[in-house]
Amino acid sequence: MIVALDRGLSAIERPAAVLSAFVLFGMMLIVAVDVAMRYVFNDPFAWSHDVISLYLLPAVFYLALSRTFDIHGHIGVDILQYSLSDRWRRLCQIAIGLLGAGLFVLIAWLGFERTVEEYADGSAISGLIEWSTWISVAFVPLGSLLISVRLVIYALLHAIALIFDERIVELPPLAGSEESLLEAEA
Amino acid sequence: MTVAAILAALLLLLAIGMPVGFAMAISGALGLYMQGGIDTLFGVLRTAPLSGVSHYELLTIPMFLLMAEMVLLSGIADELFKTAAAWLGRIPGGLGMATALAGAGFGAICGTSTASAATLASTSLPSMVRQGYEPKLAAGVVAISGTLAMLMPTSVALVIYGLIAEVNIGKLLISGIIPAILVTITILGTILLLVWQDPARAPAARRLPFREKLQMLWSVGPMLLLFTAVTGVIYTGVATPTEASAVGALGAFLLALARLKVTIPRLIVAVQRASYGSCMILAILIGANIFSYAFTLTHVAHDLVAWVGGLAVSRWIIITLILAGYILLGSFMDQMAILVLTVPIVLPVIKTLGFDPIWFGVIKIVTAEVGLITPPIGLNCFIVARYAHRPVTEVFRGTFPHFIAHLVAIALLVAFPELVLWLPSQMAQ
Repeated sequence: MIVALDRGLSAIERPAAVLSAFVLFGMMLIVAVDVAMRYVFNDPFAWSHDVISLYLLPAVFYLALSRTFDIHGHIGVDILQYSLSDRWRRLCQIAIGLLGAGLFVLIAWLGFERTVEEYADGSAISGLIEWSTWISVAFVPLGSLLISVRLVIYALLHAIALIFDERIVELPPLAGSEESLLEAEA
Repeated sequence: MTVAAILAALLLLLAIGMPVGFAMAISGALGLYMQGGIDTLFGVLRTAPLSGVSHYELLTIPMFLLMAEMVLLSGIADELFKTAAAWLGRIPGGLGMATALAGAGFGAICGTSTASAATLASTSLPSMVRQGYEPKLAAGVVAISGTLAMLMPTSVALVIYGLIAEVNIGKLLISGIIPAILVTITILGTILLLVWQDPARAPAARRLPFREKLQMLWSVGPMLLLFTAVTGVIYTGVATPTEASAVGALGAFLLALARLKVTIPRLIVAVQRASYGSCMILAILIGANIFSYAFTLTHVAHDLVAWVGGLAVSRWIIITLILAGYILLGSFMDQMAILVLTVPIVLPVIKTLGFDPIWFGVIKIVTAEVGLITPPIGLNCFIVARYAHRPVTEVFRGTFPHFIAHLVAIALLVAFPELVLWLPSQMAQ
């Protein structure tokens, strides 16, 4: 069941991460065209600054947050891990999963509350165009919820690996190890 | 008491291998709860996760990462080395010097040192070994040359320092240029010295016809154009560093397109890698943001500044101790983690001592370069060892002469701050 949950979550994470990449590429085009419009036609986009900082940057981050964890993309300090047995390293992964999930559940809950409040209030950033803020805030609970579930699954998989079958999930690669470098190449 | 608890929690979480950003956020949250109660904690956690990623200037980080990916996609690095090798190959140690120059050139358009080391390792290292270079020397040159990317005007590390230290990022990026040239000269000098000691370490390459050499120079043209597009617009003030980074990323994309290297699947992979890298850095910045809220409440930085200010010791001794501490930290901690963990605490001390924060940022990055080649976790050495199929201890031994030479370069930059500060002082306001 946990493996099925893992696959189900990946089915959400992967397209979310691709979407994050599209948004990133889109930001590059918007800013570059904006610069060209300013210097060539003296007519820059009035909206690019607000759209990028309010919506697109949070989208890039929160859409890719969970997938980045899943591919071991968030860096950690491995120095002590080299000297630990696999059993202790499994225990560390369980602690990382549970503590991390605790943090992100709290952030997701507070973010959800804020989203609902800003939606109800109709909060917006004033300017030439009024930008609704709840859409921006909504990325926080969405991304945090995704990574919370990912972290819980991560902890459970390592707990199962520790008690029953270590083949169910591999330990994360250590910095400089063969696996980490192969992963970096991939 | 709170400070001890925050630091103990942070060290414990880092020790179990928790991602740096998460560890900082959790230990910071603990500190906020202990210092200000549940309301303070909820107040920060309601705002920091969004405010930490919704600054326009943050866009510079994903754009420089995207630019690096596009440059890698274009395959221009191979030709940079071939061109430098064609012109310098006949000089003793010439291929090693070509590697250092290709590292500087590649670093100028790709501001991440691990990408630079990986690329150089796959291009210049096999050439040097085929030429009969001592593997230790060849691997050492590649590992150290990869670090040059951290000082160039596309440096992601400098942007992160600038965001944390709240200094002018444009000036900061430009201030790295002269130190980068100095460090390049240091690497070239070290190679010359090693070859002078034992010429058999680096045999000369075959001579190429002059016409062929001239033709190869053409391949450097797009790189120069890209470098000018980014650095020139920042220096002249035509565009902000954020805009320059996006224009640079687009330029690198067009370069890859022009060289027929772009396919849809490869493009998606490249952009996704930039997106994951950005996500990793932004997570650390959010964690650092929460952590610094907690630290601010404890007044530790303030007390530390007052304590250092009252010391009857020369400021040069203090800065030397700080830099020595950084090199020591760099030998076992990731550079990104060192930046976000220490800069908010150390920078007020630096300012109190009367040092320029831009100058300190550049010096800090040069110590980070040293960290990338220092055992036990000097990442560039691991990357080179993997590509060269050599023991990592051999690569570490190969970088040792460069380690010493870098200390000399750091001493020069500390003794003559103008080397760092002159160029940004000439910039348009």
